[in-house]
Amino acid sequence: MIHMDPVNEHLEIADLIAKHFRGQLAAHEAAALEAWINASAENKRLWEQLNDDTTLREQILAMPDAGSTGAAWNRLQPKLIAERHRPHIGYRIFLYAAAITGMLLGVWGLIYLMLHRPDTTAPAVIAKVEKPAPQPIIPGSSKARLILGDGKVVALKDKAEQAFTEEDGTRVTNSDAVLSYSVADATNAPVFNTLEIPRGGEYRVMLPDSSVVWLNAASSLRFPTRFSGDKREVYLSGEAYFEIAKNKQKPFIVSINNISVTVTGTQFNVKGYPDENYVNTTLVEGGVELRTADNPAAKPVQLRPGYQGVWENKKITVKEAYLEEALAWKNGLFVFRSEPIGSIMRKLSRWYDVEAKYPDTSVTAIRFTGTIRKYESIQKVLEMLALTQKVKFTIDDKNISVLKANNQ
Amino acid sequence: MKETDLIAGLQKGEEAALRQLFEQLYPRLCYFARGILQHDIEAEDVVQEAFMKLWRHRQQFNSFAALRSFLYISARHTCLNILKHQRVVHHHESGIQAEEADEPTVAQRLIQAEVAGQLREALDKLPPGCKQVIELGYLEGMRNNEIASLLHVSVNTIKTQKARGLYLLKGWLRTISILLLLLNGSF
Repeated sequence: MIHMDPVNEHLEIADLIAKHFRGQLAAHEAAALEAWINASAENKRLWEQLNDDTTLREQILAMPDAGSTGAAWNRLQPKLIAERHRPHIGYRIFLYAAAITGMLLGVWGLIYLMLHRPDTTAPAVIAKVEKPAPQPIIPGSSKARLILGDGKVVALKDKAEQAFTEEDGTRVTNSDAVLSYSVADATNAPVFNTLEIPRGGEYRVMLPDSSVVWLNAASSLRFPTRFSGDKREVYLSGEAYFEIAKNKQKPFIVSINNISVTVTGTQFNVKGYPDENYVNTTLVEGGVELRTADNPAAKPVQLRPGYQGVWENKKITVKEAYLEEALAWKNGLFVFRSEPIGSIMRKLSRWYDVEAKYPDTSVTAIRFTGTIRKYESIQKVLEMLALTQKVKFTIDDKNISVLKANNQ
Repeated sequence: MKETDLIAGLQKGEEAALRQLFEQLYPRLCYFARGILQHDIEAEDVVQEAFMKLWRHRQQFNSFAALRSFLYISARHTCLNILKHQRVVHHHESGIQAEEADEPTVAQRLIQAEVAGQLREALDKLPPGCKQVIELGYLEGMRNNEIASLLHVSVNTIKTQKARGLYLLKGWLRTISILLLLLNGSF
């Protein structure tokens, strides 16, 4: 029965108002709308508010377009699969991450602010593409390869359904860019699998304990086909976002470089690429403990949600996290906050599989702040950086030279 | 997908059908929940949960109107429960911008969400070039020459795209007086 809740009436009114704005209101509908407007002072006020252009524009701007729901869907979709695999297990509410899904982005990722104001008298300098790249540069997409217990390598296909059975009986399925493990039939000792994401790739895996891990480009995760001991231990290189299933008896441990992150059930991001000299652990929900092998006797460092533990020069320091920035990659964005061009180009290199060159090294000191959608073409991203009139780029095949803009 | 196909697809458990509904309704439901909770992440969680419930009960829905009501009712229910049991809401200052609103009632917020959501949807259906020009011109209030230099196209192209957009949006943009703003760039 639809008509039992006031929500239905309000939805009908909303439909009429939207029709009114689109000029599609029939006469009898106009009468119904008018009756509603005159029914109360509150209705009238709301009507007037909706007819205020500035307010309406702000509301439409606050509404992300359909294309930007991708990141949110990526969070929902593994749970749909989980639902299919375990239809009768009570639904566990995931409290996920996602700082900002582009909602505050409004329209098209324009790059906003720079450390210095651009010289407004200078002509606009745009990214110059000197000759068309013989090999097109495309944004990353779902791709990965899986190294099974026996060393066999399987290329994971984004769209296709794939299934294998591991040596210990674990069933591994790959569907819609999510790899998942089912332990139901496992009997023998667990074996280790490695999921490798190339440059220009990203992938998700649901581990045998139902924890979900998002892997960024140029990253890999080594994990057992099931967690049989008193802890759940995995090994990371690169960047990943973890949503760990609660299990107080079996702590979950992520090892990367000389650091280990121990949790019992929480959500956090770990970033530690070989070409960066730090490991950042950003906590979104729950609690984590950081330990470093550089100083095994030291007390573990506890993180609170919204904080980031930085391992650098063999030390761990804690600072307030910028969740929007730390989780941007997972939400389909590049978010730069006073970030040096070198670090920006490393991110772009991993995602677009390109190489950055710096003929004039003084350019590396320039920092940028802004937000760009990561599924845009690299030309568009470079163009936005160039709009700041601080840098320009030339593209030669897969090599991108970062140059000072002429007016500098 | 047409509405009947969409409903049939959902009942059969097709993810593509759910995805289409998600793309259409997730933004406005989030807007609705954010208005009640004043918290972005919680609002998204609530809406994700509503979609999980929809998925679980997918057999029951025979029309788009019924499932849309279900999503709003489910989101409202969860939001009000959260508010009831919430003692301290932990706001992380970074990254999350709680919306500053003067507490509109749930009903008002629902109507705002649906109206803005449907208009946003109409914008999204425009061809890409045209959509971009209308967005920058109408929503961002940019002038024709500003849009032209941002997109590296001529002012004439902008004018053509605007005219096309207005035609495709039929009544909407013509209904609102802000149209004048659109015309500010010597249209």
